[in-house]
Amino acid sequence: MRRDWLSRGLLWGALALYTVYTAGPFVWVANMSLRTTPEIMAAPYAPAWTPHWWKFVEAWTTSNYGTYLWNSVAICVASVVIVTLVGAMAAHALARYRFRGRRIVGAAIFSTIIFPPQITIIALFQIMVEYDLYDTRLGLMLVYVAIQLPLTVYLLEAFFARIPEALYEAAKIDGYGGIEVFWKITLPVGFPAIATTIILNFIHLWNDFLYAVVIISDDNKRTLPLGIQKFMGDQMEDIGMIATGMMIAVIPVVLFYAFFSERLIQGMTAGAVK
Amino acid sequence: MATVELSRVWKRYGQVPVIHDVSLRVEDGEFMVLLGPSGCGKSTTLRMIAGLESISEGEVRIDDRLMNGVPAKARDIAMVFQSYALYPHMNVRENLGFGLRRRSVPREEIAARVAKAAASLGLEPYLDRRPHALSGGQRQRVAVGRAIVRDPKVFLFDEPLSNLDAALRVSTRAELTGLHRRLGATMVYVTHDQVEAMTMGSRICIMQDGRVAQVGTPMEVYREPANAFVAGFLGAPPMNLLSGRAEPIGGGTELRVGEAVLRLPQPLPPGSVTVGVRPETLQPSGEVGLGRLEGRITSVEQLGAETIVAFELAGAATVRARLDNTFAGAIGEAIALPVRPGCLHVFDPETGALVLRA
Amino acid sequence: MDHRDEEARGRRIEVAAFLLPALLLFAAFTAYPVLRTFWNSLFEIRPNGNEIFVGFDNFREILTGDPVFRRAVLNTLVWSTVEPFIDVGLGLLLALALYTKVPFARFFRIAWFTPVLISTVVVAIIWSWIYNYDWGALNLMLRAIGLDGMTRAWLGDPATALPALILADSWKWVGFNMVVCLAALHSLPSEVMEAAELDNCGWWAKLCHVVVPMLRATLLNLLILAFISRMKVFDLVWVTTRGGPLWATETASTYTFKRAFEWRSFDLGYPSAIAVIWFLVVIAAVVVLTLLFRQRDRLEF
Ligand SMILES: Nc1ncnc2c1ncn2[C@@H]1O[C@H](COP(=O)(O)OP(=O)(O)O)[C@@H](O)[C@H]1O
Ligand SMILES: [Mg+2]
Repeated sequence: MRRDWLSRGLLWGALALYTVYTAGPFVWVANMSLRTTPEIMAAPYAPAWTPHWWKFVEAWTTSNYGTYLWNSVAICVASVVIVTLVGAMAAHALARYRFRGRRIVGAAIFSTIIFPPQITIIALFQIMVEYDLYDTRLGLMLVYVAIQLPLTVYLLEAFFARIPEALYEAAKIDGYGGIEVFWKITLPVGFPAIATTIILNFIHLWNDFLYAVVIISDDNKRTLPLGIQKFMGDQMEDIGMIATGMMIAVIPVVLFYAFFSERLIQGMTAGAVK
Repeated sequence: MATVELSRVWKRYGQVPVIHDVSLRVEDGEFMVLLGPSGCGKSTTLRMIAGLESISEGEVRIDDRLMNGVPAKARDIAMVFQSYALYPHMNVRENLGFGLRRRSVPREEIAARVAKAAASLGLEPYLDRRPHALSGGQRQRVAVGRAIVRDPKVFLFDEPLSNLDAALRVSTRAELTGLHRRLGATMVYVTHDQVEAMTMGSRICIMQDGRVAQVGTPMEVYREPANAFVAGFLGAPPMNLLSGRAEPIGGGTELRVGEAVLRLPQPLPPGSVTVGVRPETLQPSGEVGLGRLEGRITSVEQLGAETIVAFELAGAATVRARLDNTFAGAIGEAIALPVRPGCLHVFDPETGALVLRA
Repeated sequence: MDHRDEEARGRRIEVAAFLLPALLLFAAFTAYPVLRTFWNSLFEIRPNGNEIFVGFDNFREILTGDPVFRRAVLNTLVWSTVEPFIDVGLGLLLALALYTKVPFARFFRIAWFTPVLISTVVVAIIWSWIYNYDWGALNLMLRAIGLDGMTRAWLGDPATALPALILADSWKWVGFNMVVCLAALHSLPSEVMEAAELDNCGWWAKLCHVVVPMLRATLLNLLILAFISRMKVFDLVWVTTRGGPLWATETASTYTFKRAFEWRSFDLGYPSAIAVIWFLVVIAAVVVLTLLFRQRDRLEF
């Protein structure tokens, strides 16, 4: 009995410690975001007894944060909408039609999931320059669609293939043809999988840094991750302000996560969980 | 009102034929059952009628109109699937109306037809539920309702009762026959369950390995099976099929089955034959009939209303008899049962074809 | 008969219509760039559009005369072999802890997963602060327990920069592995764990002889997934150290990026050749790993 108590206590201690390890840095940054740099320098870990909420206003107004946020939202939303639609169409074709070359098309698309980004990124840069897409939101959006497409098709195809064929036959007898079946059966029945890929794609693109840094250079076209880095550069040693900027970027994700935690976890681990 | 006619229909997957030269005519208003063991090609045949499967060779006609190549939606048929294939993202009302919406039936009429079908199937309380919130029996009725609202020329059913529990299956059977009587529509019904076939069909088409073995009313195919396969497939327990030898004697024939000897007035060429006797036609009595089957009882199954007795026919196989529940014999005792005239079937052992009935 | 031809043609058009957008995007922004990178690797590419064919010179130089590349490969390989075991191992232990039905398991699970969702740029800044010499949390703790001698600028010291970044990266990814392991544990038949409970063996024995074998497929998958992802690591390095100090944290990705866009050497051919080599390394690694584990699986059953 005693031993049981002891081991339970130890386990709890370990879990609490790990929680401090994962959450501590967030709490620390959140705390810093409400303090000025001189305050932080005087005592880096003191609580924000007098929270300086004005710092958020200042960070927002003295920097280009509004623009970064808008760029991130616009580019990510557009990319996710397109990649979901295009990916779902391709997955539908691969899952529901038997045609010559089906396996080859599938294998070609899916194999690129494991490709390292270098193998395309230099050529993508060249293509963007050649077609005047360099340093444009459209160019970045196209690249985002392309890099998320293989995984999207892969996940959706696996799900669509499990929708019973009889459903499609019933629809066929009810008079619905190829495209209508996609809208009226595949998309609604496949909604759980589609929601999953939407979340996965959105988080990935929202956090992307590599492709954005290659394709975007104009400050007015920067997405949030680039913006944060830029902000960090601009503020130099103004730790407090950087912390405020980081919180502005993190808060939307954390808020979203607070409301849809299970869905987000499910989305992010799609493909890895069997 | 419609007829369905298949003439010399073949279906091949690649080079492998799974339907061989099937010809069948379903009359207007008839309830035709396609019966056969699993894998014999019932569903494939039905799906060729529906237009879900292409026809490799031969012709399918509905109402004398050639249907080869006509898409499913243009054939004016409705199908009830084994898995019901209800649209999971639509409630019952939308499921029922989905086919009509496509046909641009006016909104009010859709509502009226859905309401009528729902009323006739007792689905009104569930109209706003999704399929996952329905019981198996309710789902089955929605699937039937989806066919009814379409008011099609032909109803096609592919084992619609096989996912129901036993009690529900019996009551649903009656509901479906009632539905057929009420609508007077042409129906083609696939099943592997002979009880369903016998109780529901106007006629039964028994299939074996992609071929039609026999078509007839339930009593015809039961009493006068065209071959050993049909004879052995129908009835519970099925017909006893025993191998024996025929030898001409005078104007008639002597059939030797193990040590038993049966005498027929009809002539038969000498050689081996398969002898068929239905279990329920073997009843103890003082008469001799065509001869007696004798042996020692090996099992007695008392089913309440009746008793199934199996005995080892001397020098041959096991024979089953279906006796009434007053039978008092025990395992190991001797038993002798006469074969009644008119109840003996002789089949060709090679082809299984009926040779004669005596 | 023409009916059927017509239907077949209709189906072909449908397939084409469904696939075309994806195939176009795939061809233009994945397949073509891959081929072009291969092609580029045989040239020296000047900014004015001059392309000078150099054959395999780029490859020769990378493989024989480029110590930075060698360093980058070494670092990346160390990173991608060490971190998967930390991520998956710790993830499994945490998942097991939650599996034993501790109170607030749901809260822990959600809390531990949070770093997975945070942009790597933010993670990088946070950790560069934690590693700060003067006021970083790590040095502060060391000083607190009297280990002043061990304090250092963790990312500024070539000896510790790489391990420090690996730790920071694993901070982000352990939660991911924990969730996947937990899901796999929950999908095991509960009798297995109960039987192990009854056998009354120690938790370590249970881990080695029951849990790990049962989760073999999941764990292998996670290891391979982590391995591949670490082969691509870029953001974290770029925001914190840019590969420094003294190439201590240079990775294949950062080096390619530097050669292509930073050094202003204005030759896209050389980095393309690096990309090709690295691509082949990654593919080979994936193939070897897959074959290796397939083989083992086959032997077992
Ligand atoms: N797509 C297919 N490809 C090849 N063979 C098939 C295919 N579909 C069905 N078959 C074969 O056709 C035969 C008849 O199948 P089916 O009509 O489903 O039988 P059932 O009488 O049980 O409904 C079976 O032997 C089955 O294996
Ligand atoms: Mg079938």
